[in-house]
Amino acid sequence: MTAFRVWLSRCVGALTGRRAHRQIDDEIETHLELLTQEYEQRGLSAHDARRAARRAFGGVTQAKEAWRDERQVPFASVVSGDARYAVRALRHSPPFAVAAILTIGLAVAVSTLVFRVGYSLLVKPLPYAEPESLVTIASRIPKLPPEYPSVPVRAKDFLRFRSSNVGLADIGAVSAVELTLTGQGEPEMLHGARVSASLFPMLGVEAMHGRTFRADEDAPGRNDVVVISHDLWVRRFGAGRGVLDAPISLNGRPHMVVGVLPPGALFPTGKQLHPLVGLGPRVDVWRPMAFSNSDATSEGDWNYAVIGRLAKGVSGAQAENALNAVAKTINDEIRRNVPGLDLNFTMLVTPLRDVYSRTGREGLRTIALAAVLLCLIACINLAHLWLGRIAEREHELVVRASLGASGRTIARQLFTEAAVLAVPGAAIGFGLAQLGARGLVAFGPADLASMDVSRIDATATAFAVAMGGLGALLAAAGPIWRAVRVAAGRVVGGRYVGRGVRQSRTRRVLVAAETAVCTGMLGVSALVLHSLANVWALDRGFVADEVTTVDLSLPSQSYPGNRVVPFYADLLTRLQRVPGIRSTAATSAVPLSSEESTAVVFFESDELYTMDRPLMLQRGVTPDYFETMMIPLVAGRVFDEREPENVVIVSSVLARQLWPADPPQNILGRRVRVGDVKGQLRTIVGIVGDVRDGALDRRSLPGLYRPHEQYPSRAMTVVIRTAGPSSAIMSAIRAELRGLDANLPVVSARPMSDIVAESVAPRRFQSLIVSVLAALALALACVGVYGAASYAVSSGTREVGVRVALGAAPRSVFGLVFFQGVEPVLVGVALGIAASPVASSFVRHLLFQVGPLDPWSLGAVALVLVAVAGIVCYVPARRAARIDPVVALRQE
Amino acid sequence: MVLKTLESMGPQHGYGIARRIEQAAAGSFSLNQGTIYPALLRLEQRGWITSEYGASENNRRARFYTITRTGRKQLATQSETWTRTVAMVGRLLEGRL
Repeated sequence: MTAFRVWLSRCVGALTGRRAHRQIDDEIETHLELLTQEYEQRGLSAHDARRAARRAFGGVTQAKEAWRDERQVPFASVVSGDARYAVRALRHSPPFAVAAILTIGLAVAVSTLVFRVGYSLLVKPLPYAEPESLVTIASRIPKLPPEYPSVPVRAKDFLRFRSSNVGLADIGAVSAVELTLTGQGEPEMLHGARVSASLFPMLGVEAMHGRTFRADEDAPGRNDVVVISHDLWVRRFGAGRGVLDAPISLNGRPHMVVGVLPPGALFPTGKQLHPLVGLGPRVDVWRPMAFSNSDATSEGDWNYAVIGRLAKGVSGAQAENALNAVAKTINDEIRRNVPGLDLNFTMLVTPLRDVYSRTGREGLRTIALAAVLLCLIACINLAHLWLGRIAEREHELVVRASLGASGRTIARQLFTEAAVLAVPGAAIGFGLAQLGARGLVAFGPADLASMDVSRIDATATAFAVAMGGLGALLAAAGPIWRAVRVAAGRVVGGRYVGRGVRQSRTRRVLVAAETAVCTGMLGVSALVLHSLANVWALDRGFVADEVTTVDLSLPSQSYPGNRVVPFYADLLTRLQRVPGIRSTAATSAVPLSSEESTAVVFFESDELYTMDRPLMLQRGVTPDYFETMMIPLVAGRVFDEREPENVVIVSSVLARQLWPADPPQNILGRRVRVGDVKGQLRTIVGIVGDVRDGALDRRSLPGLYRPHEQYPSRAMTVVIRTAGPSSAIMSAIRAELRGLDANLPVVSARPMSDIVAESVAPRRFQSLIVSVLAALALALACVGVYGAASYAVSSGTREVGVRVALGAAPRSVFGLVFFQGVEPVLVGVALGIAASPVASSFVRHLLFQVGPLDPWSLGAVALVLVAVAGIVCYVPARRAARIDPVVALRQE
Repeated sequence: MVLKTLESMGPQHGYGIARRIEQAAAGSFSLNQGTIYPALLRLEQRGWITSEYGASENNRRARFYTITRTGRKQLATQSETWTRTVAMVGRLLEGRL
């Protein structure tokens, strides 16, 4: 209890400073006076009495100090004194302080940002109930090409798993759906998902208003109910409670809105859940899955993404085994019913977290490495700054040491200075990180936006502070050690002996080190950019410039099967008449978009199912498609307006896969079956050039085209090649559309070039970040090299003066300083290039047709660095050459 | 010693306490009088004495210290401990243990 009392009063004492000091001064003064009085009474003179009093009292200053020490928390007074001194010292040299604070700020900003993203992506638990036991399930068909390591699950398999004991507490299926909202002002196409009724309860997602689906709504005929997102609710329904009361019209049919999700609800988007299940860029509406009879019995539709929850105590591997046991039974049944078809599919169970972090993880590793290297360079620069500062203060340090300051005191004080610098540095870094996070959300890939990286949280703050403090102290440690040794006289300071123009070995090593690191980063950046350029330069097989795409989706209610084809034909005819439009066509999917319609091609002679046939991406297109997209015709013809017989056009690759030895001309006229070995025969009437699909840098599936009357699709993309900028045409297009059907949602048009750019968006983003960090590293390294050279000149002024006085030509002085500065850079560049194979192994996933030792990239980097070093060393060297010996020698 | 002084003398200021202790020691050791102040602060932090302003003999404002109840208790305990220690040491030296 006493100890607590003591401690408490010490804390209070630490805070109430000045008044107490006056108090003790007063008290001691009184004491002295009384003592003096006493001595006077004993007969001493006033003067002697005072002296005797002081002697009897002892040291006044010591007494006051001892009293002060007792008053405060023991260490704090020392630290606060040091801190005040440090601030004063730093105020006297603003360039050093500013440079140090900015360097610390940069390092803290970069590392905090990377940490935050990494944390959100990899560590932060998903906003679901018990997220660690959530998994996704996919099927794996061994015979598929390696671009398809997994495919989604069939409905019938899903139902089978749901009714078996496979170690899963619950399971839910997801597929994409698009719904047109009408009757509420502007018609709009909403991206949505069909989900099992059990999905939301399984995830632990509850509706903010209303409810999620009931089990009985998960059946055909009862499923005209929807749940909407918070965003949609605010945007289209004005956040009104009445949305739950009246039905809304989706795809021409009334649906009841039964629930609104809370604003923070996280649902996969795009291709996150599975590359072959393409949800929209945002999901705003959900319907119950409600498998129809044909869904549930289809043998060939691998269409459904599956999310499950592991039962208590069951691991992912155990569930996978259980699922595979069931899959084996299914495979045996298939083998019995369809002899010759050896699917042998197995199931893959992966944690749900991977869905969100998959695309981000590799990129994160690369960027994290770049950030670490950047921080390393920043530390080296800080060390440079400190070396310079210590060298300038050598005189002061020596004097202090001779006046009795111990090495520890000096070290403690200098470390306090370093710490004082770290505070504003960390604050600036934190602020920059906030800006950076907001920039990432605005310009980065969609995954990052959904992960909410811009929110400040305690971990990130603590990290920023720790990084700033640690970095600042570490960087200063070496120079401070040297300072202590200088003060102790063990290292002779340069002031009186005269340091030369030569840079000290420490500095040269530091410069070489940071140049090596910078070279590594620039080298990696060059490789990555080179790869990006390679990807971009690939022949895409079509010409995207001046092509605009408009996505349309016809609601089934107003467009029964037989009205789809005439609608598009009509629309195209009308559009063709608009001035400024060169050609126009419609396709079920533009290149580099969805990859959902894949099927196997069988020879005419095939009788049995076999997986040994080529897999292709099929599209329904109107006749002018190839001309509009400028896809070259290799042999044969394009489709006519009317095709009485079943015909197809194949891409060159597909033709080669089917008949490797035959020239294109011979292939025309042959017949194939698509998808079903017992399906219709279709004649090949044309062979066209290959088109890149999926993503620019991935091997794409060969394409097969069918006339759109023979492969009709409600949702098609109209592609329009314009004679000039498309913006002028948009209103005309809208007018034609509205003329045909006022209730069709007017989707905004997207230039084809945007779609192409988006297909490399992740690669582009990573390349951008790596390059930005490398550029920052280069800037920092420049500062470091310049600082070292400049310092050498200012500290070696006397030597230069002596040299010139003794007859050295300015040119030789210039050369001396210049090469002194450039030499460690050369060493560093050599080291960096030697280490580049190691560095480039971290960006292996980004390299495209570029080897890790690509001579062009590395050569360019070396050249750039040496040139920059030359420029940076030029100024100090010139300054040295201009030194007037008279002034230099007189300088103290 | 400070506590004992205050107990017997009543409220005193720093000079008075220091003087008394010096007299009591009768020259067997001399302590710089200034060292009393940190000691007074320590005692005050522990709550064994309190202080307030008053007028000193030469009409200057001075801080007067008084022993508190806890202080008296502390004094009693410490005195007892001291007495016992002395007795034990005495017995040891006389070889009666």
